[in-house]
Amino acid sequence: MNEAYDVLVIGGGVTGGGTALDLVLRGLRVALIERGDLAAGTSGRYHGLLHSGGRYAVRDPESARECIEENRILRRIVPHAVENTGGLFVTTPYDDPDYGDTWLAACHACDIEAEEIPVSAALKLEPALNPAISRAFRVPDGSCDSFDMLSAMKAAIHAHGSQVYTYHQVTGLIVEGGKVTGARVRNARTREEKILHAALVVNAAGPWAGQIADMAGCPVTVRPSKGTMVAMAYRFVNTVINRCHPPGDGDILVPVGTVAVIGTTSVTVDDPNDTRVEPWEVQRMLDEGDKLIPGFSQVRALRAWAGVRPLYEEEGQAGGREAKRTFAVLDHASRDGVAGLITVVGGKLTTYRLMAEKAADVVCAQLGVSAACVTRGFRISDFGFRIGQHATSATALPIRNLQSAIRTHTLGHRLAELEAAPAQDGLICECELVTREQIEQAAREHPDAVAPWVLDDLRRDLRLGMGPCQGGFCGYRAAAILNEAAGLDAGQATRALADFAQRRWKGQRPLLWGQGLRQALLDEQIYCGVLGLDRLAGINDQPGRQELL
Amino acid sequence: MDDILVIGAGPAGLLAAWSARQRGATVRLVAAGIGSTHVMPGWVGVLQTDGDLFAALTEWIAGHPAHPYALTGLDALNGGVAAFREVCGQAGLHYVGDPASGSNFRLPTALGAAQVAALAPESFAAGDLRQRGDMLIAGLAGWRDFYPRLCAENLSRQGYPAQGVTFDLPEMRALSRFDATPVGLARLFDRPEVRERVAGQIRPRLDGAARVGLPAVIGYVSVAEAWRDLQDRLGVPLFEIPTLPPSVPGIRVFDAFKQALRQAGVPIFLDMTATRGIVEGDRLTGVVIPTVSREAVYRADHVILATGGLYGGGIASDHHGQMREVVLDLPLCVPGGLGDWFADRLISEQGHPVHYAGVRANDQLQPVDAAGDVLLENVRIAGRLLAGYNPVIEGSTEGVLLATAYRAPQ
Repeated sequence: MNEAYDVLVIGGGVTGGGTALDLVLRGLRVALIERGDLAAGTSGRYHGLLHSGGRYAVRDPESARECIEENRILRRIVPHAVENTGGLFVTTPYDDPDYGDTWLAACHACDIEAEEIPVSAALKLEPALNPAISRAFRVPDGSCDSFDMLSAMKAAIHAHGSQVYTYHQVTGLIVEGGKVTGARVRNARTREEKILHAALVVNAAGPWAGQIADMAGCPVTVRPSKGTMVAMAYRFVNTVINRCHPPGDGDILVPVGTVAVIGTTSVTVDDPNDTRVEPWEVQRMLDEGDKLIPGFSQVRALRAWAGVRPLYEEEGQAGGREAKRTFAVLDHASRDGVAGLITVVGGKLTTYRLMAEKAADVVCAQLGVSAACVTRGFRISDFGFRIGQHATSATALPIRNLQSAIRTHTLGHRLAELEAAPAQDGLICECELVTREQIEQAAREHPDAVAPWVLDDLRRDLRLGMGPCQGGFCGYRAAAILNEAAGLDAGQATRALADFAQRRWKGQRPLLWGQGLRQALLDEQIYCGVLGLDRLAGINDQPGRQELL
Repeated sequence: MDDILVIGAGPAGLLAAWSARQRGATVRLVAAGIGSTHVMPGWVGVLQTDGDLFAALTEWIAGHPAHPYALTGLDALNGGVAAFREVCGQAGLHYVGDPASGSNFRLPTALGAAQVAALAPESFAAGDLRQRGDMLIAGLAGWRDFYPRLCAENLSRQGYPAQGVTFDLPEMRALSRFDATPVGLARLFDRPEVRERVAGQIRPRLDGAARVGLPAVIGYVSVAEAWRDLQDRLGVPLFEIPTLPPSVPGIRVFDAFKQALRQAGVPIFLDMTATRGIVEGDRLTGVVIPTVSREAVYRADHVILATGGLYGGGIASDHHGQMREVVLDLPLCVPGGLGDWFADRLISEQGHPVHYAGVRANDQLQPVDAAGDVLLENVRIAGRLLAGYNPVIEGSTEGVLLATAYRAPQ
């Protein structure tokens, strides 16, 4: 079965999603292709920071200017995904106090509203901060939920009649007579292949962009730079905290929901799939955290993960933290003599919309489409419910953010919604307040609910299993509900449980000491001692591999 | 001053206190809180084997000379099991099976897997998958902690024919709007009219089933009566299937011990966290327990340390990869550094090395150093605090607790 579109966009992160949406809004018919779930790559594996640009003001003013301008736009167009936490840059005893002057001047030069406030005011605002800080500056940072952003983008793309293919891997580009005319894609679960034709293909595969471009014989050097983050099971601060020093490891602390995320490291890796978390990285995050918040390392560390930055490198440029965080749009027709392919690479989550606009401009110029970009004023949040934005009837509890007023997700809002709900639905995930009805609804709307990774997708939709027990209790419940209500047979449901348990394990595994270790042993007791999951399934999270079941 | 001070209120501490009292000692039990009874499924796992248990245990001990079973000997296991049975039986909680003869039960889990155990409450026994007989698995509609269809389908796929059905219980809604706990449900089953309503819904759907399985919530106070009565009303053998914690079968065990210890004159103090010992020479002469007003010192001739392992809180661990025995700071056997403690996969055949962490002990369960020299002459280690075994992959969780608890006061 072959299908034809105006444009294929490869990569379901914010860059690909944003580019697809931009093109859709200019009247084109688009297919967005992602090898996993949306936001499963770099977009979902970040710390949750909406940059003010302050971090780049001194060394990379171009990126800083892009950040602050896009920061203002995103607050307007995806308000449901942005929490206006504000940010602080603080000078700890480990930092040069004079750097603050250089930094402040650079921020002002980039049009970033940074102002110095008294240390006493900063400590009043954030009492957990190290009392030994010598300077503090306010900036318009925020926190930003990329899962919420992408699910709203997806809803908007669907609403405009275009297509999103998740769990479809691009296995090759179709090149005919020096022109890319489509892509061969494979369904990750069924292994079925099909060809999608298009007048143009946009490569927005982030750290994998080099691999995609290579399928058309175009050399694109992406230098994958791995960053590790740790979520601590305590929201120490309500404001984003940055160290006021040249960017380094573990110097950003972002309040996200009920947790605080510290990041990151910066390690150049050969393989963009390499998201291993090394013990030294965790240690570094905890040590740096203690400098910002005394006692930081004593709190339970909940999860660790790594994302891979897609740093784009032209010949002779610096890599890692020295590399610029701006982006590039490459037209392979003029660059490599291969028509029909455009690569957009580099950048940051905060600047995704600008990247998408520039990429879409090039696409439209080539296709002879004159419509202008409208994404600066297009409120994606109006499509903002993760799943079932149509389910606003009185009986159905929305998945998240079901309020007439659009706002960010908090546990307090969820609790208020639940308490006000007419239905008496059982809580399945007690940590994140997810009900049975939500799971059933999310499963109904899942494009491929029998896939072994379905529970992990539901996690991104619902926050299922993201709290302190990391799925120990709700995993079994959710798998059984899929068996009862979503058409999964017992083998599929059990495999989904095994897959979910292992994925949750991967993020806890580097952090098992203290209370987190005790929790992991309880989870093992539930999975093995009580449920006997070990006696039913050889756990394997490789998609498509059939296990003993 | 008591003859024996027991620290810890998990299965090991409870049984050690009772065994010590049976042997005539004056005993006091202090603990930071309740122990692992509340997360135990309720059966007694001794060793993972499909064959003859006694032969398997004998062979296991021969092959694992540092294992707690090898330290205590099989007599201690048999003695511990007998004592456990006696205490539970006094509360009407009858256990069946015997590790000294025969083979393991094969019991269904809430997920529909087959788990082996040497002993089981009588209310579990009809679920033994070694016996033939089609099963009807029944669960409460809408209850989040048990799913009869998934259980039945998984059992059927392994060749144990089963059907899943649900029944309604309007009272459940009244328990709590969002959180119907296993304990709340078990209390409902204490009521005869509730049992009749449940039986009335299940009976017409038996459809030739030889036995009926329900989640392990059939009665909280009057366990034997509730199970027997519901079974009579159904007219076919009835069995319980343990599900997510808090475990009603485990709580029944805890309550049985609490009652037996009180009757035997053993005071139990919970919310008492021992923080250090007072040592004179090679003897522990006192244990310090801070209270709101002062540091209390408890003295005893002998101290049985049954504070649990990493899960129970007897061993603390930190992000530098250090482990510490929390009361006496006894040296620990630690399997490598932080990165070595756990396998990359949650479920792996080798299991997680961290389980082998603990206090080394001699065959009297006195704590010893790496050279085997006794550290504190009047201290005994019981239960999960002991080093050198992996209860998860061995299937020895409850067996080691009972064997070492029985041996410790000897």
